[in-house]
This record gives sequence, C-alpha cells and structure tokens, in this order.
Amino acid sequence: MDDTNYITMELTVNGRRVSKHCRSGRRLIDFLRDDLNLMGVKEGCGEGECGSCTVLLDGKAVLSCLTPMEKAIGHEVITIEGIGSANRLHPLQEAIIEEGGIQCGFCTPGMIMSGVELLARNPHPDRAEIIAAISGNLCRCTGYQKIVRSIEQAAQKMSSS
Amino acid sequence: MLYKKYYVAQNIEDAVQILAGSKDSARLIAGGTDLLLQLNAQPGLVSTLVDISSVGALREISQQDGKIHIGAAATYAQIRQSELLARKAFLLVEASRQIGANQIQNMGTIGGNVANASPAGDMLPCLYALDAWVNLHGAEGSRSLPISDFIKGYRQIDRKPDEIIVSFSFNALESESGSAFVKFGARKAQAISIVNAAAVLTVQQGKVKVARLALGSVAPTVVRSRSAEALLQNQQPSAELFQQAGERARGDIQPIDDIRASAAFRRHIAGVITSRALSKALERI
Repeated sequence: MDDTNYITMELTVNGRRVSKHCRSGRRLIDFLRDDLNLMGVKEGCGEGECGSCTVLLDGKAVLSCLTPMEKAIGHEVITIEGIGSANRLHPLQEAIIEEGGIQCGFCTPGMIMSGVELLARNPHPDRAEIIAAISGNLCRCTGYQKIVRSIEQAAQKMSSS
Repeated sequence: MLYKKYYVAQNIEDAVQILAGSKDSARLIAGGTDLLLQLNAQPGLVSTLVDISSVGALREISQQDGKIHIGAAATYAQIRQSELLARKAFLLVEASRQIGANQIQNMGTIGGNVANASPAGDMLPCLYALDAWVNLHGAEGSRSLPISDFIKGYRQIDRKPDEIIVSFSFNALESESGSAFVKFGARKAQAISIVNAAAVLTVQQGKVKVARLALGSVAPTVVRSRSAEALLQNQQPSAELFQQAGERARGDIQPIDDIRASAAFRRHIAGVITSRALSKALERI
C-alpha cells in the first residue's frame, strides 16, 4: 500500500528561500539531511537526549529529531552550514579550533548551534550560564572544559569586534 | 512516514473543528517532545496531527485581577523568562529551568506536560501546589476543573476527543507567600525526576496560614501531602517543623521500584526534598 503524502516545504534555510516538493510526515532532521543535503545536522540518539541534531528554528535552538518537518513551513531554519563558511568562520567556530574544543566532531555542530543561540540572547554569559546552555548537548570526547572555554573566548571575540 | 496529515491551527476554534471532524484519529501537538518520541517508536500511531503551538491566544501568560493565566502552549522557555511568574509563582520558573535542557525548554509546553500526565511531569506538582484549574474548550463549549480532577490516573486525563486545554489559572502568590520546586534526578539536566516536590507557603504574624505541598513520581499521580499540610497549619515555621513535615510526607505516598530508583529510596528522598522545598519557600517570602 502506497499511502505516501507529498507537500511543498516553503521556508528559509540558512538565509535562502527554499521551495521543495517532497514526502510529508517526516522529521525536520530527515528533510534537512535527505532533501537539502545538509549533512552537518547529526543524528546521535534520535530521542532528544544528545543535542547533536540541534538547529535554530526562528532563532531558537530546537532538536530536529523531535520536530515534525511541517513545523518549519513559513519559518526560518539555520544549521551549522549557515553560520559561517570555510573562508569566513563564525567567531565560535574559530574559538573551537583555537581552544581545541573538538575531537571526533560529532557533537560539534549541535554544540555550536547551542552556543550561537546563547551568545545571541546573552552576549556576556558567565560560566554557569554557558554550562546551562550546553547541558542538552552531550560530548563523549572532550570533557566539556574546552568547549566551555571556546564559548567564553567567542563571547570575548564578538564583544571586541 | 510518521503521520499522514499535519494541520497548523490558526485559532482555537479551528483546532476544535478539526478534532471534532476527525474524532479519535487526530492528536494535538504543541512542542512534540513527548509525542515525537512515541511516533518515532511507532510510526503511524496517529494519522493526523493538529499543531496548536502557533495559536497566539494559547501562549499568553497574564494576570487579571488576582488570577494568573498561563496559556497551554506557553513553552518552558517562556515560563522560565516570565517576570510575572518570577514574582507571582516562582516555583513554575524554578521547575521550567530544570526540565530537559535548553532545546526541550524552547519546544515543550506546560499544556503538553499536563496532557502527557506522566507521574514524573515537573509542571504537575507545581500546579497542584498552586491549586490550579484547567480550562478546556471543545465543540460543546468551555469548562474548567481543578488539576487534581483533570488528572484521573496514570497517564489518564479528563479530556474529550474534541477538547483542547486552553489555559491554567490560579491565584497569584502575594507578598506573604513563597513557593519552591525541588527536583531530585540522576543529573542536573536531561533527567526525569526520581522524585519532585512543590511547596506553597503563606506565613502571617509568624504562623503558617497556608501550606500546600505536592509530590511527584511517588504514586500513579501527583500526591498532595495532606498530613504534612495539616501538621504545618498555624505553626511557627522552623527547620525542625519542616523535617517533621517531610516525615509525614513519606507516609502519604505510594512509590514503586523501577529503573530509576527503588521505592525505599524514593520514600527517603521524598522526605528530604519536602523539607528542602518548605525551607526554600519560606526564604522567598
């Protein structure tokens, strides 16, 4: 039985208007990865525990594995691909490299999205606020200290630039 | 395919009509943090989703006269950041900070937490301690009932298939009152409560005038510890009194053994966090 439904996904992704006729009834992460080829959106647990799939929906960090794709219609999604480019990194991406806040890299996109949201709503977070902001992002490599320092350094870079 | 159809409701009537027209095959979705877990595990469990999260009227947090109203689709992040609630019902702010982590707080809603009716839901003991009412709207009109009547049992609520939880309402806590929510979980973030406790305390002329104490994850539904409340009535607040209240609370609950903790451990912790919640509530008066 083929009961597949189709819809047109009209939304803004990483600053670009997108209009895509595609299968409905899926998770936002599947639409971003399978239809838009945005492979920076990682699926870790698929259960809302690990934060690897974090994207910004209208500027707020959400879990794309627990978001029905239709929720994004008419809205703005930003993924790791949309916050900087290879030639022009986001200050938090620079800081992650400089502080060594990355090892295997799997948690990094989600971690950066949480950091970017934090710095947008609170440009001068203290250590406790940074830890609270990334408490929904699990990293099994670095032990978090270097990631926290990266966000601290990014806050400094962004306020002095 | 996780579901077949997805409607984004524009207003409350719109959502009620879709629900009434599709009977049991439709489910409401707000943040989706609980529902998507169920759908990911069991695709096709529900054919139609009705998204109410963009209905503005369902997201308002306001005060009218002495009553606070919280729209059912208000997110934990909204509650966490509400200055009104920080002054008039701080325990909800305290609980919202501790649910999941930032992403879940951006997505999940107070109405979803209540509708899910998990014994471990963190909004529930707060609403019990506030003596909150649940306001519903459906095809046959509106009705309101106390939270303790709305929650009928383990994951069971008194809601007709065409009804929507519109809001929660309760008396604002005034200057002689304080409130607190204490969560005991395996870690500070992303943890389901092993036991949680909510307290509202009003003290006048040095004596406890109102004490409302609710515990979660200690029975099929939230438990109001009536014997602890009775003990506190008209007494002078003290650490010793709060400890005795904790003892009483241990007698009012029916915890179970499960993967998160044993019944004996839960009973012990329930007493500890009861007295902690009371002490914090007192400090905030």
